[in-house]
Amino acid sequence: MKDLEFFRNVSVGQYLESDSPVHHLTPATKFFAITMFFFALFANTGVAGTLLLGLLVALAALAARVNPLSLLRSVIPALPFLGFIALLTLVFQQAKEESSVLVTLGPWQLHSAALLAIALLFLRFTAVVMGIGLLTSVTSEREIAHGVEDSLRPLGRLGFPAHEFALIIAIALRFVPIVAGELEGIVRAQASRGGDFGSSGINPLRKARAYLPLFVPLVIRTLERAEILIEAMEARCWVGAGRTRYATYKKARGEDLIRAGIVLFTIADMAFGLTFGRRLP
Amino acid sequence: MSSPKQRVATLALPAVFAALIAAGAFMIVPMPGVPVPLVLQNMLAVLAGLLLGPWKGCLSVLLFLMLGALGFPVFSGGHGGLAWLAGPTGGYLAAYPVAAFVGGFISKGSGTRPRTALRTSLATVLAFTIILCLGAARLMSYKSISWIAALSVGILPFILGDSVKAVLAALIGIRLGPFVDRVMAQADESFTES
Repeated sequence: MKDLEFFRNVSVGQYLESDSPVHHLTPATKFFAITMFFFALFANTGVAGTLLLGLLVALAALAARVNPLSLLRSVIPALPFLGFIALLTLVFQQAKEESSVLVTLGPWQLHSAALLAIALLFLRFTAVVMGIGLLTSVTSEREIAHGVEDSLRPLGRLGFPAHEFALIIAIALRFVPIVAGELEGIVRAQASRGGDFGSSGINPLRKARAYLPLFVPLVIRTLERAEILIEAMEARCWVGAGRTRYATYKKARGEDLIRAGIVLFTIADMAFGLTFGRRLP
Repeated sequence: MSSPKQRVATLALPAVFAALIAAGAFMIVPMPGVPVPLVLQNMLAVLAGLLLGPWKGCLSVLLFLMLGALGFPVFSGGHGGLAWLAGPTGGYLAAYPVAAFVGGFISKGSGTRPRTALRTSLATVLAFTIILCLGAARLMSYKSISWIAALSVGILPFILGDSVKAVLAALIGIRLGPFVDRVMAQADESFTES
């Protein structure tokens, strides 16, 4: 029984309520910022450019009264995995002409390019985790759904259903804890009837059969929930786009300036990373 | 023009199923003799295709990936963020919608072509093969390792676990397929094709 692990009180996201200027930005601006952040990150700006981006996220976190170190904590669970990838890089590295050999151990050589690749892997991963962590710390679930809708609205003119898209994101987010709760209830119910999920040999067919009493009710209950949701939406005359919102967002003063600043910083970071960053070791 | 109820169903079913896939992140099953614990999300992704059909299944998996990309900890083990999609193991995740679509396309019944156990099984095997192959291919291109290395770290360790999940997915698909079809038919009489 203890083999099945559940996160109790599943909470999606880690929104930290606060009164900081970063929290007060409209969701669209936050999404704009994170989009530009990814744009700069995946433009391959090298070690220097990535470091600069990480620094910017740390500064933004300070402005949002979020501890930057707490953002870093989410990297820890990924460390074994990153280490495995780093090991793969070291074992299967391919010699490149421009990289110098640092250490030679029998048939195996340590190239500077491999070390650089590993450093970049860790840095980039950390930067992404910090950036996304900051976004979810300063944006509530509802704001995320609205932010997606607002960011996609320009596409709506081309026929993209921005409102529907935001709605299904909001529904999915709401239902994650509900489904997880159902799952836990079913596991407990089965266990109390003597169900055993941990140990039933390695025969795939038998092992799979042991899990059937878990998944069949789970899928059925999920579909029943969906059915109830469909009935409820229809009964409330849901029509799609054109609905008004309870929450409205007003741009804070200087928000356009912040957006312009983000664009400038992205360009500067890419220029810096692509010119100087490449020459650094 | 589709009826309002059909439109609502087209949105709500994939959304709720995406939540089911995301909730799969919280169940981890240890396997005897295999160091990597079983992740059930690929099975749920394949199941989305088997049960909801190619389009809605694919949409629900894409939605799940979108939630993950937005930073919610819905990927296995409570991870989230674009880094997992863009990272070396992102190939497996990116293959989910493809697998859901192909699996749904093969197994889906229609008015003239009912669901059969054989087609469902075939769809499941094919869907899991797609996930493993695309995942290993991405691993290979990301780290520029040889295909033998990719095979040994990206496919072989998962064969046993994935065969268990494939059997499970096929059994559930066979058992619940007609039930789901009935739910969808109730949403609209002409719901046989999405």
